Amino acid sequence: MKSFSAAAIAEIENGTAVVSGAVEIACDPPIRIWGGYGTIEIAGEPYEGIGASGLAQASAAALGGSEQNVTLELSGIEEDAVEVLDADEVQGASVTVWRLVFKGDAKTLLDAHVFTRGRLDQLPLQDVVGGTATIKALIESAARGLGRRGGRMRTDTDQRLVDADDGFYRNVSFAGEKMLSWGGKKPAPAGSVLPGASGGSFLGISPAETRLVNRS
Amino acid sequence: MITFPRAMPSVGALGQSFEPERVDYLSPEAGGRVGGVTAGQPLWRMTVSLQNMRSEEADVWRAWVPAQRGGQRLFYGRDLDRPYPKAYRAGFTGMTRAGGGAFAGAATAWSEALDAENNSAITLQGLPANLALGLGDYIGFRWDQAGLAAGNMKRRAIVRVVDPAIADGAGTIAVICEPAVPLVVPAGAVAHLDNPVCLMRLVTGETQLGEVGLSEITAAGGRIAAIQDLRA
Repeated sequence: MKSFSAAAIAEIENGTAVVSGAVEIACDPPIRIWGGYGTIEIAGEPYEGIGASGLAQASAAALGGSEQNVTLELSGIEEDAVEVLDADEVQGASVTVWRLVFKGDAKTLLDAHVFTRGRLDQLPLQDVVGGTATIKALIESAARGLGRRGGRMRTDTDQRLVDADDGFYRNVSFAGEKMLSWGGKKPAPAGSVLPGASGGSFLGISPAETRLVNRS
Repeated sequence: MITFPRAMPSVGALGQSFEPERVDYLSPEAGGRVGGVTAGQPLWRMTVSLQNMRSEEADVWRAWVPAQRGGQRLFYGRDLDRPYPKAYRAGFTGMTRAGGGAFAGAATAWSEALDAENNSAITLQGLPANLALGLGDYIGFRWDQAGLAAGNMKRRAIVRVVDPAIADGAGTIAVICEPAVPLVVPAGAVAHLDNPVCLMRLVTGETQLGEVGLSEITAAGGRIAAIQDLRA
């Protein structure tokens, strides 16, 4: 449960809050940056300002929806941000994203609390000639890995790689997929999860194909 | 030798906008109330429109803009209308501090306090007695860039007076300014009233110089756009 301090709530209610974000990437050396200017201290650690107002704003969530990843946008020309690319063992480093609420003067810190934690996944660079240069840092949330596919295919060839005598898939070219959402949305009815299931598909053979077979 | 940050030319400037730019995330509600938050520190944004000039004047800009190498290099951006406070447009020549000694524009000490309304109240000391700061005047801050020789004073920031005040007999003044003094300004920075500037970079896509006439010795104007680069 996240909770803002009373002072931060009052400032937001008043419409005078200034918000920013801070990120700690536990690589070697650890990187601690925040979206403003100058150095501030959060939880006893100094955070360097990189002047990226939009830092950690690129995230979305819905009540009851599945867990979403967070994308951080770092300014590509700031030396503190470029350190992210230079640091060792960045891949998979644990990341803490803080949400900061300031008073309207943008310097009195009212509240800092952890917005999300995760692990660093990808660091795509984007340069637009004559335009902006950004480093994005994709952070996997607690639901990491659930969106990944394995290398296995549900085909006869692949099944026979597992067991040369297993011919379970020999009559199908494709097997239905079932989406499972863990810790998020409640499972949808089978009809909408298995495409064409309500139409009488059997092991991936759609009704249309069945009719063609019947006619011939 | 050209050194950076570099001063900004003012020749041929027809008009200028020099305002703090805020990024607001507004959230209007069905009931009519407008909620919202601001993202981060406001930054000074400057646009200068240039009039048609004689080619000698145009050459000043046509030499200055490429030397900035787009957004690569810093320059000292300023409000061209206000190098000195409005009441002292000719400068501070001949003025003396209330405590004695010549006054060239720098305060001997400064401090910032946030009042009950969260306004930034800046107190300057060591000014001439009864010195007046009016609406739209600026207070500049300068301090040393780390890693260079002491006294280089290459770091600058600027705030604007939004509530006028007059110094007392001891040369101390307290004025309300916007935006609040940024966090990067160290306590040891020098607050000054002469030629207040801030570090800026050109905004590449919006900066454009006009054509140079070939039949007459004039050059069309242009547009210079820049954004503050706030750094410690």
